Order: sequence, then structure tokens, then C-alpha cells
Amino acid sequence: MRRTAVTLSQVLRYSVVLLAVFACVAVLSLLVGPAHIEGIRTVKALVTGWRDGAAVLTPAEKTIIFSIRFPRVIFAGFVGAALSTAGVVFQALLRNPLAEPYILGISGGAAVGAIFAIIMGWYAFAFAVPGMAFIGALLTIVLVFAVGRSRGEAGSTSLLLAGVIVNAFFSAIIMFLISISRGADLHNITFWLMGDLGLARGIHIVFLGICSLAGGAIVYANARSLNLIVAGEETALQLGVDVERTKMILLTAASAMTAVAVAFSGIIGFVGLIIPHMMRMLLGPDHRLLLPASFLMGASFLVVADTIARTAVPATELPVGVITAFCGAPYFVYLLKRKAL
Amino acid sequence: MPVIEARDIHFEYDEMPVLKGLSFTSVGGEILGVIGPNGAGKTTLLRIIDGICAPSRGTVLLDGIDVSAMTRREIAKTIAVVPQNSPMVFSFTVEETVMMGRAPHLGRLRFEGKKDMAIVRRAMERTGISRLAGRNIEELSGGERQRVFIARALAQEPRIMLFDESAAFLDIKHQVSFFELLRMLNRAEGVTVMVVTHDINMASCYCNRVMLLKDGRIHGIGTPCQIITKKSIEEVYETEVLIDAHPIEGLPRMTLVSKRLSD
Repeated sequence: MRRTAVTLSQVLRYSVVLLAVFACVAVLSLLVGPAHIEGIRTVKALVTGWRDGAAVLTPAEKTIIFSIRFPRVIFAGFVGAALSTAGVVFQALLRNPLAEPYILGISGGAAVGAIFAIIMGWYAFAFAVPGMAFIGALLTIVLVFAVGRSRGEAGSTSLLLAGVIVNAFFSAIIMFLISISRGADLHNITFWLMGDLGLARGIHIVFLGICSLAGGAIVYANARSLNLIVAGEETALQLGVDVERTKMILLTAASAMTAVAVAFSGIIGFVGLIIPHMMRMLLGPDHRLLLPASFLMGASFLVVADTIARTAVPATELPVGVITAFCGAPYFVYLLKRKAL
Repeated sequence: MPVIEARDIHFEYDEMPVLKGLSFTSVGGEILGVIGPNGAGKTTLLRIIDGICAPSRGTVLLDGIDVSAMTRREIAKTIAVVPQNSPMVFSFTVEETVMMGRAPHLGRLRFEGKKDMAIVRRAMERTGISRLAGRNIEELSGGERQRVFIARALAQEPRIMLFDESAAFLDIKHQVSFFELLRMLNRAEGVTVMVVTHDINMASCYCNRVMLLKDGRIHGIGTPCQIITKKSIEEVYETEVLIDAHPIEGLPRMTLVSKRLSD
């Protein structure tokens, strides 16, 4: 496909379109659920707003739309945005199309932290499970880079290998912890491992929202440098990028975004892989366009996946990680077959 | 004031000395060839001039300013480097790649304006790649790709261009057109060119001056006639050669001597 160089108006145009896509997806998601609420009235309520919504909806309906579904849609959106943005950054920094939060072991580290908190029964404090997951994720990043860097420069292959090794080790720990757990703990652990957006509470959503937006902004401010780093670190230096400093900033931002998203939602794989690939195929590799597009598309994708997760099987809720894996794995195979990575 | 001035440059890699006290100046506007055997320190010298490696001793001055005191961005406005070949992971188009050369001139969030577009277009015309603008650089041949990197370097609007064995993998047609392009850029744009090459005959034909490196020291620096002599080439490369005059240009021409014949 013939492309011309990315311009500011192009970035704004695509962002507006993808934001509109997200808005549509979000509204549709609000309409779907076990409790049937008439679509037209819901939309009316949304348009007239929070206060006047009561005039159109019954109190029960109002609670379902504004207190249950709406926060969940927003939460899913931020998780999807954070994961796919982090995916874009990891792929660019490691110059490897396979890099992703999950493959780098970050999700596994978070899981160990979360499971530990679940087993210890630290439910009283709203931030105990996500807090431990966050600590686990950050420790993993430090560990992966320590292992990957021990061979001199932190090359992308040694980092990926370090991720694989650390991941395998964490899997063993997770299996061990599961095998010694009983009853309710076991159920909670399993759901956390499969990714569950139903865990979020109001304060989590606000916190995640701030982290996603701030992380996204920091990453976007370095979008051009990211293009140059993809072209080669030596090239980036020659073209005026302070590579070490930029890498540090971007890795920290992407890792923190991943850690926060995983901490609140559990392991949701493939988002950080599929969305960046899809957007790169459609829009090209320029990060000034790729980053906002992946951010918004990641949000839409996870809202759709979560809507399917909570409605596909009547009277029960699937973990959203199951849906993303169901879509993600075949898509990944398609990518592999279509064009060698 | 010299455009490039290197004063007593020392550099060690893993405690192994690579450069051992190297000094030279270039008044600018010239094509300076750098030749010497593998491991003589040619590439290291370029990286030190570009400020990517810091010398363990000595300083490099660009227009009288110490490189170690300049930011990466300031250096990138002065010096452009054309690599041997640079692998691409995600496929940028030719135009996008050349546009990267504008990066040191643009603020963090600034998009390229009309002026930048014009500079990029001109760089592509100069290097004869305008018709490739929308192509993926992965699809290009080695010679075409080399021109894309030269165009990107031109888009930086540098005063100095460094070429690191940029012609090494080109066939003879592309080698000649590569050196012709260097000469054209040097004359038309007044760019100071420093080119590392293994091709002694090309260096002889196209360089105003040649620097011959051996074991991290300058064995000789001067016009091709002064430097490319049987004595110094045999001393530095430890290989028997014949040197005569190029039948048209009159410049030194080197011929390798096959072992079997000399025995």
C-alpha cells in the first residue's frame, strides 16, 4: 500500500474517527446485558445526562446503566488502551514484533503478587491484590532487565529470552500456589489469572484512568524518538536522540501502564500484540499515528471483548482473557501465515 | 578555524587500546578518505568524531566547539552519518525514512512543515530516489537503499558527512555512482566529507586527502600521491602491491599481486 508521510491533520482525523468508534462501542456495550433495558431510553438517558437520566429510567435501570455497566465499560477501555500502548512501546524498543507485556513476563510477575495477596486473605484493603500485583510486575521488569543486561548491553533477544525464562519460573510458582489453595481462594485465583474486569471499584478506575492517560501522554511526547529507535539505536543517536535516557523514560512509562492495568484486571493476553499489529498494518509504522490509534483501538477492542465475556453464556460471566485469547490466537496464526514476522 | 580538529585521541575497548594518540585537522570543504587494515580503528574514529564514543583521552573540536560539550541534537545538526547498512524491523517508506533526517531540527511535538518537505524533496532529487518515495525501503536493492540513507543524511543539512564503508557491498556501477554522488555533494553543497573505505583505488580517485591508519595511529595523511605509495601500503597492509599511475587521471593506482606469480 502506498503511504504518504504522516501529518498532524491525519493524526487528528484518525483520532477523532477512532474516538467515535469507541463511543459507539461503549454505548452498544451499555445496552447489552442480562437485564433488558430498552435501547432508545438508555441512549436518551445518556444524552440527557446523569441527573435527568432518572426521569427516563427507573431507579433500578439507572443503577444498572450508570453504576454497573458504565464504570465497567470505562474500566475496560482504559485497560485495553494501556495494554496495547505498552505493546507498541515494547515492540519498538526491543525492535521485535513479538514483544508484549505478557511475553516479557510482566503479567506473570503480577500474577504471583496477586495470588500471594489472595492466599493471605488480604481483602479488607481495596488496594491489596492490585497493590501486590503491581509490586510483582515492577519486580519482574527489574529482574528481566537485570538478567537480560548481564550480557553487556540490554539486547532485544536477550531481554526476550530473559522474559521467557522468568515467565517459566513464575508459572511454576503459580502452579505451586494453586496446588496448595482451597475453595474460594482457588476460584478467585483462577478468575484473576484469566483476566476479570468485574474486580474493579471506583477508585481503581480513576487511578487506572490517570495512569493510562499520563502514560499515554509521556509516550506520545517521545513518538518521533521511538520512530528513530526502531530505525536502529545507532541511527537514533546519529539523528540527535539521547537514546539511553529516552529508553529509560519509555520503559518506565510502558511498564507502569502494564503493571497498573494487570494489577486491577488480571492477565489479559494478546491485546498488546493484536492491536499494535493491526494498526501498523493499516496505518504504517509511524508512532505519531500508531500510538494514539492503538490507544483508542485497544480501548474499543477490550470493551467489545468484555461485552462478549459478560453476555455470551447466559447467567454466567466468562473471564475476558478467555475472549481475547479466543480472538487473539487465531489472528496471530493468520498474521504468521500472511506475512512472515 | 578547522571544521574538524582531533587532538591526541586515545580510545580503549575492553582495556585493549584501539586508538593511540591520533591528531589531525580538516579545514573543511574537502573529501577526506580514511583507509587502513581491519581493526586499525577507522570506524571507532568516526564514532568518536560523532560523539557516540567518548575518547579516554584527547578532544574533538567541531568548528572549535568540544564535541563532549554538545548535545546529541546539536551534533546531529552538524554531522550526518551514513551507515554501511541499517536493518529495518518495521517497514518505513523511503519518504518517511528521509524525513527522519529532519528530526534534529524539529521540536518534540512539531510535525514537519512546508520547509522540511521541500528539503526532503530536494534531498531525494539530489540522490535520484524521488520516484521511490512511496516504496517500502525493505523492497529496495542495496544500492537504492544506500541512496535513501544518503538522502536522510542530506536532509539533516549537515556541514560534515561521515561515511562508514558505505560502498562496501555495492557492485562497481553503484560504487562509481556512490563516489560521484559524494563528489557532487561536496562541490555543490560545500559539505566536508570523511569516508572510510577499503577501496584504495576509489580513495585515490575521489579524495582530496587520504588518511592511512595503522594500529590506532596515523601512518600518514596527505594527497593520494603522497600517501598511496608502494612503501607505505606494503608497510601498513603487509601485502605486496604494485602502484602505478591511473592511465587517465594520473593518480596512484594499486594492483594486488597474486602470491603464485610472485613466487
